[in-house]
Amino acid sequence: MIRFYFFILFFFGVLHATSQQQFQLAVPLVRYSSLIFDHQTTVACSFDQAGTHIRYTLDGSEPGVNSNLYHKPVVISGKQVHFKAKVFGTSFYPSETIALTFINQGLPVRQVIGTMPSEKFKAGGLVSLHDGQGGQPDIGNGQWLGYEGDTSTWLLTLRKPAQPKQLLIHCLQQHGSWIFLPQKITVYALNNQTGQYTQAGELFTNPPSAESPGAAVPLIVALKDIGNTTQLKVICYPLTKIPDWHSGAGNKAWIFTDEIIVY
Amino acid sequence: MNRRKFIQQGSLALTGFAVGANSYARQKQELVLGHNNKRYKIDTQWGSRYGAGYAVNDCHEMVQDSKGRIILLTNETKNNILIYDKMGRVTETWGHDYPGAHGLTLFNENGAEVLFICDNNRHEVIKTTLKGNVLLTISYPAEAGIYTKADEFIPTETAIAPNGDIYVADGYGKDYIIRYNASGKYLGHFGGRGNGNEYLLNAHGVCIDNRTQPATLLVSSRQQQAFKRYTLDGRYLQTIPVPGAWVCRPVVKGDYLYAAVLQSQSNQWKQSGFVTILDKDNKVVSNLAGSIPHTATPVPEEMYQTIKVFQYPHDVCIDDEENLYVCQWNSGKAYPYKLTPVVS
Repeated sequence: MIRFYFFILFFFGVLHATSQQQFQLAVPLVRYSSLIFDHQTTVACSFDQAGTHIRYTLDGSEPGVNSNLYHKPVVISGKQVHFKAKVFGTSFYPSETIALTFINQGLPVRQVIGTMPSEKFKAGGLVSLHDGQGGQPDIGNGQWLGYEGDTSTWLLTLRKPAQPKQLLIHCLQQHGSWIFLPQKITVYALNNQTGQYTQAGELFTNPPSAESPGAAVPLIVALKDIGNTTQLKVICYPLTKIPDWHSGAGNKAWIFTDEIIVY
Repeated sequence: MNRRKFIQQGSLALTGFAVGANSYARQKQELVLGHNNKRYKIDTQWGSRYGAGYAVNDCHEMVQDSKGRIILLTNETKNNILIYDKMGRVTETWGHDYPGAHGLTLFNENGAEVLFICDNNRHEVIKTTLKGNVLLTISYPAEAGIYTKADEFIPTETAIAPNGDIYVADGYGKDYIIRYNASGKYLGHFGGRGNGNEYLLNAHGVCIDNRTQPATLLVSSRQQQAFKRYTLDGRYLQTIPVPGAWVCRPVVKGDYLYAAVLQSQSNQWKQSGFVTILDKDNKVVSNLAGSIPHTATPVPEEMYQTIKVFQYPHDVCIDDEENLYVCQWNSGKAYPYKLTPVVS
């Protein structure tokens, strides 16, 4: 009987004391020079709040209490690195996860010529498609080229002959701004021997849905081996029109891209 | 049971209560926000505890009158003005004619307190008594030659000089500071957008800074993440950078400069606001729910939200006991919070 009263009042004691409001931590501050890098780059995190620490992963998994503990800028190398970081602290709920995709610059590109972007979103011109800059999903950062509803064709010349395995077009998905991923991307490679273009790869994207988040999306086209090449022809097809569930239904869909990378 | 057993069981049970409460209380200490000698505890229920029956929309600004009452301006036309006591009880409401209610300033005009309301939708500044009787309405200064029509003028804030001159910040229009005399006659303007230090980008707030001799004008150039200081004649004096902080309006109380920070530059449009406090040497000494200020360098390091206490704080009011009241824009119609100083 004694124990019964003990536990009842212990329980109410705990309940009373736990009526303090608990807050969530904010996301950490992250700094990096560009999401597109050559060889390697670093990402620095800070979070100046007593009693907290940052944990991160490099494999795209959600950071947890056993993930890498951040204590100095993290080196990023490889082809594509999915960096995720989160702040933990006693008496706080963990922060949301901050996620960045770092993309290797790939084979050096001498030039890109072809369809010019809209006057409103022309960045530095077609040279912006191979300047090793960009990657952030911020329309206003001056890196993105915008194309309104037109099929775009680009001729990409490599600095040296190569047998590329993949072509990556870094695109923006932001349905609120009528920006959709291309419906299809077709890549042709110029066979240096024959002087003929041969289709090397094609990618179809999934139809967009209302739930698709606003994000920078790397679209990767796998290329079959057609021998040495110095030039790729890339044709990028937008959606025929904005889908019916969207407030801009029936209108032209924009494509935004800030870099084309060849691996 | 007999008396002895009752006392025995009762005291053991109460020990259980005390142990439970004590052990958990030690693990979960009440949150203290801020740094150095400007630290606070927060009551997020202050405005809703007794006031939840009064509708609000964006809670834009707050002032305290000489009776100690906290006056809130919201763009909810059911009651644009809510007047609270310091416990958070609503004692009076008025106002149905301010759909774009944004700026609220209190001025003691020869012993009578008056309010200046900036309305974004009406493109006007309206002077009223504390009961809401309209005394003066100011619209865009056509004679200044900087506006072609009334709706280019979108005033966000006013500051009233000791002689009654009215400084209007056109924070959502052309970023000018327009000066009128106490009767509403246009006297001049300065600021606006451009590439020099004296120009502004989103001149969201303005206040008189009596800490300087003579008094000067402080303007928040919100998107530039800085305060800018001018003479009362509009001559540019200095920039006070607050990197990372989208400061809404400068509020001077005692030796300190306070501002609600709408959001962190590093995490935009994600409810990343906090409150910043600077001392009279223009050094950030405390960020409430924000990063530790580093005062060693002349320009502070970029500041950012660290605890998600606030979403989009829009104004901070400091009362006569140094308590703070914070009201918010676009934060789910949140009622104001109260913060009480922690003396270490």
